[in-house]
Amino acid sequence: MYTAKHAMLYKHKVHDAEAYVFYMDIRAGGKGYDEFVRRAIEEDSVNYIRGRVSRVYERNGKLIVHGADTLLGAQQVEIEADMVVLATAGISNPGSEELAQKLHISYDKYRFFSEAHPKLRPVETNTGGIFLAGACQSPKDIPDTVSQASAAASKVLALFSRDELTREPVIAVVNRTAPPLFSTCAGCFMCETACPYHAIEREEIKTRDGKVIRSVARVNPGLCQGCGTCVAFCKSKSIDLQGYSNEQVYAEVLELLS
Amino acid sequence: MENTFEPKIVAYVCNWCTYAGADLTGTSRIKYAANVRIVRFPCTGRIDYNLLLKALALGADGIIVSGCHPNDCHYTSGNFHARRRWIVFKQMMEYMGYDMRRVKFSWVSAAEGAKWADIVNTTVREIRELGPAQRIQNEEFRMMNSEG
Ligand code: FES
Repeated sequence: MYTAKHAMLYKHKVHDAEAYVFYMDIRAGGKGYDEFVRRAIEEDSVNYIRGRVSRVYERNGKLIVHGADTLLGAQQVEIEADMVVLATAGISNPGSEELAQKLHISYDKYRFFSEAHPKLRPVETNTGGIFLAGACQSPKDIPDTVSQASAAASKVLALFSRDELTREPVIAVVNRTAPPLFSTCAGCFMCETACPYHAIEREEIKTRDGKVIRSVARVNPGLCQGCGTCVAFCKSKSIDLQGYSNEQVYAEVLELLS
Repeated sequence: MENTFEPKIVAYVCNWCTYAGADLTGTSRIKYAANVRIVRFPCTGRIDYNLLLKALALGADGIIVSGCHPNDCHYTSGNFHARRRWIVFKQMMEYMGYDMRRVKFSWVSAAEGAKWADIVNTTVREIRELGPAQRIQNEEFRMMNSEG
């Protein structure tokens, strides 16, 4: 698509010039996209040649593009060009991996960020409160980016329009039973490294006059998605998953086996 | 002996892949051994050592742990943690002389109903051959739990 646009813009600026495009398959999926390519070919008479280029080399200050036209029975084509533009693929931003790791959102093997669900949650990420729009998720053109950005914006509005946030029904909790500020949490923060959502926070236990006794883990209920990885990591068994607590599972297994 | 022994097998599965996969086994009307009792978890990342030990202590003859394929975990990385934990667990148990053929670890996706039936059937067959499990005694269990 962007090749067609380049060729078109070029032809509009330099009227008596010739533009050649070597292609195998034109990917012009979208409303009016195919018409756009046809317009480049038919109205602006850009020469589209179906075939691959085998060689580009210099001769007398010109670039010679050597290719084949597969629609004319693989006839050899040689074009003397002043400039050769490579239509390379769109790739992700070099810093995207680092950013994804910082935000704890997942990314694919091409380092584009992944949405939470390809069909049902296309602008959300797995981390609550982080949304995707545009070419960070996959190569995209302007209409797609705008619609995705609008969707992301409306998701954010939906988040802010309520007085209270809804959370997952199943989340992890660190025990904080009485006496007043007691917890068996030893503060090793293994859970912090294990949590894929950055939902573990550090909380300080203070005496009445504000002296910090120690810091323990706390689960941010808005971020926790309830996977329970922290539960298995916790050495002192101070963290438990609501609905899947150790006790509940033991009881279940006991019943199943008796 | 071999014909009368019905092993009790506990399956710890994750909600998003294997549980759905086992569901698919049912809806596609594939028959499999009834010896397995499925316990559902949100993710294999939740499945702790002590749950496996508990099941063995309570008289399970075999265990199947199964979750999403690597990279498919609903919570991004739970199954990677589970896999590492599993490697350590296996070595520890083997060191202590437990026959780890009784404990199976596998990946079954939501689309692999037939694979689930297959895993259950082979496990049941193998455990039938191995015979009833010797129960891990409670004292041992307590010891292992406090040290592990
Ligand atoms: S959700 Fe299936 S293994 Fe994590």
